[in-house]
Amino acid sequence: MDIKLLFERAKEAGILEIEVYRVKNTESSITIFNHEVEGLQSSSTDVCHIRGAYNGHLGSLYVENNNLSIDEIIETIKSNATLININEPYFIYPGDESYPELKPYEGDFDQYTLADKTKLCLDLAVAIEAEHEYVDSCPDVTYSEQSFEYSIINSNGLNVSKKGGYAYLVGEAVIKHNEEVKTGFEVQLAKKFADFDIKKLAHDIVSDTVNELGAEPINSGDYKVVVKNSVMRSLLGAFTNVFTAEALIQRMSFLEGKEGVKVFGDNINIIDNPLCELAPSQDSFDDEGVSARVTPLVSNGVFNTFLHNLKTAKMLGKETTGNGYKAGVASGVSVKPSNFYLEPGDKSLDELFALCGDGFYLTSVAGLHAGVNVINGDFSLQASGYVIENGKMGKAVNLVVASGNIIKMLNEVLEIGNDLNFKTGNIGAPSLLISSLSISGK
Amino acid sequence: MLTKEVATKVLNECLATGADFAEIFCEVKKSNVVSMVSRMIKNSDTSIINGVGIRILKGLQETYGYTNEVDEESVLKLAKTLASSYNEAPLGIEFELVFTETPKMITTTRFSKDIPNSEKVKYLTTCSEAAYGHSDKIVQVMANFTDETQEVTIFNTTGLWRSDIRNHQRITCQAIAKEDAKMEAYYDQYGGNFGVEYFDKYDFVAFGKEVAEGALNQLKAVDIPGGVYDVVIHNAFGGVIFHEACGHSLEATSVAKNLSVFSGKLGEKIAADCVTAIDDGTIIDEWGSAGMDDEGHDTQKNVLIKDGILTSYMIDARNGRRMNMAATGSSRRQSYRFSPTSRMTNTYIDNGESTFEEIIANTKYGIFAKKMGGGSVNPTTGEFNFNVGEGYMIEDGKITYPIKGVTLIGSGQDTLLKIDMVANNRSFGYGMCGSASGSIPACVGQPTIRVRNMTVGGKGGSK
Repeated sequence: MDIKLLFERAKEAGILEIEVYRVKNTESSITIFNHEVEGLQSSSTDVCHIRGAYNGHLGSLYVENNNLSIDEIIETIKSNATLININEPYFIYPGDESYPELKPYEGDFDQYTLADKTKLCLDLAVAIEAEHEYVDSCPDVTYSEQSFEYSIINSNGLNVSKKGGYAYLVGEAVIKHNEEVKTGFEVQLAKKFADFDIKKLAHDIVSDTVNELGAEPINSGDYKVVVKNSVMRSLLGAFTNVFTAEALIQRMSFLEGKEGVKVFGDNINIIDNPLCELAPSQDSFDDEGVSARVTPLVSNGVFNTFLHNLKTAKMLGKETTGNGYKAGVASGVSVKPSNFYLEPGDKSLDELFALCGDGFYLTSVAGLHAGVNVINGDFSLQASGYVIENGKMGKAVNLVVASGNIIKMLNEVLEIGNDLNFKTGNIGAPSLLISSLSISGK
Repeated sequence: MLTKEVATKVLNECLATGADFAEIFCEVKKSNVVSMVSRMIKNSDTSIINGVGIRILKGLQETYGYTNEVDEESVLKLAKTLASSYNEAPLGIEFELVFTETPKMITTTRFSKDIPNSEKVKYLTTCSEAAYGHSDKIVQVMANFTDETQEVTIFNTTGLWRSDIRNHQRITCQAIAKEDAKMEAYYDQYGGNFGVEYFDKYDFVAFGKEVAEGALNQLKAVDIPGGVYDVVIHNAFGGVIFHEACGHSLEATSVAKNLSVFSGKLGEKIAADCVTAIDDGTIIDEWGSAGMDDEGHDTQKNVLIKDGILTSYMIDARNGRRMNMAATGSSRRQSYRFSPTSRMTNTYIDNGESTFEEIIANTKYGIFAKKMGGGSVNPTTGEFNFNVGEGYMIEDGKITYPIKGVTLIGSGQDTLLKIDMVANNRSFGYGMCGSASGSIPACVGQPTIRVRNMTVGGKGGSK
């Protein structure tokens, strides 16, 4: 697309400000089934989200190639902008004076051959099957790599871009013992090909699942609970929207009116930091082109601020926190967390078990897309885990429901683990010891 | 869209290194979203995707690639790249592409791609006003009109050349009710793979009021103790229980690899006698229907379970090779960016012989799950969970008070055997189903059913 021509023609048509958000992406993957290559994939795409100001509102359009003429693009932007009647400010941001410097992208995946990558998958399958005598099979292993280039260019002078990429390896194990069948599944993310650790991944896939054999429900009741970091990450992730100024404006946040108020226990600190090195990716600017910054959201239990983009900041008389992100390339800019995490404490997992004494170790939850109520903080989720007896992990538990409320839960944190982890996403949490959670089983 | 000549050239390129089958999937999809928040139009967005996916099979091995550069040169280049995964002599497969018509599963001639977004606002205004007007406690109403017109053309090396057009549109409405410090939301939707005529006939005033009433009801709802209950699951979206607990485990994606609890069980009793379950992609204008599936086969009506006996799986061509079974018109994908696989279309439990009233009257102490939320399942173990969107207690054969925060869990194979009553009031609900080949419109349905002894999570202490 000839961006210069688009900008000129847009101006002639009365679109006073215009912006092109472009993403070029290449991806490839290998899938192994029963020690044979079952599938190969490769793709390349080049897509644009274009938004322009007309008649006091921003109209937008997502296009995937050059099949649409500049005139059609301009007409669609104008008609969409004309329909909008909500009284909200808009921004086509000219850019900041400086941006934090990120480590350059060092992905080396293109220097390895298809045969190298296939071997990695086959080796993982062998390692999984050798990991434990109860492993029945390793049905699927997938290797996938991706590299991308983002750019935002607008008629007010913004011109920023970033390159990145990663690869990941996913493995699965079917564990059978007597008549019982369980599946284990885990993913490992790498920035460089040599970072893959097959032995560790095979262990992660198999060991937890083997421990789950013989699991059965426990009696219903309120338990003292150690929440594993992965579960805490999922729970926190389900409620991040509550921290955004968009949820506040839509009156869908239980934090409404709580700025400066103590909402969680003294020991709770929550931070949004796009530059956090522990997370898999870092950003020097958000999807509006605003420079990255650190936002302490909750300090010692006190809620400091909502996350903002340029629009919500203007509407509420605040500064943007640089959280103007899109849900996908085709979406408009909303408010989303960058790297969002609960600060770790100093207790090891074993110490948490010891401090718990007798209780429940919650290691997995399912159904997060349906079982949480983001309006009031309630959750009710299919769960599994282990009994904690005399300060140690005991027998496996499955098919129970863990129910509670996130606000209440973050007021009842007795101890915080030192195992903050982001895994593959942008939400991080450590394991926690909670004084009480309702577990429904038998 | 590619011409016959270009498609032939691309397919021959795919076969040049020893593959036994190749397929081109061309897609143009125009989508729109118009959103109303607090009576104002907040968004009007348009998106146009246009791309090509190529699939090459050699025995059980698949190579898939896609691009959104749709000119001849780029598509040929993609075909060459994919074909380079194999390095054997061509098998000498010859074909002639012949265009064949697709059965029409959609009655409209007015597709959403041709309707300006400005014409969609009136429906949103009607349901939004009705919801606000219903009670002062309704503090926020959001309504969305989403539509997409998907035009698909498929060519393959058996000479198949077919096209289909799908026109999914739905209106969703969410109301938030507030009383003192309590806030509750309720949500509902109406839609189909149909034309806008259906919206003109639909009562959006009643719809908006129902959504508002749902939110008010949630304000009154109380937590219940977790434990084991008899659960009466209502019709329409209640069918999500079957979709999650059983449907996914009957897809060839998991059956072919022996990863499903129902692998190798054809002809065996897997459900109570009162259960007959069907996946039917041929229901005119219905949410999960299509003229052809996403590998170009006619969709069909597949009886999955007949009187409790497993009679069929849902099979796509590639998994059919592994299973030595014919495809069942069940192959679907979100877009050209996904290789297709076996998926559900319109999946439902068929009508039984009880009535709704009989089921309630016969339940001494249990839960009435009037509207289900979403859920998920592990097809290998059959373990599922789903959330109850609107629920009530049943005491002494009567529906008594609203309850909230309720989650149902169990395993599919157990649950199917624990269904003991099936009513005669089947209806449908709409959802998006996410799985291996992306997110696709899937319709669920059932009459009211009763399941004995389900594990129910709640946070009102012990039972």
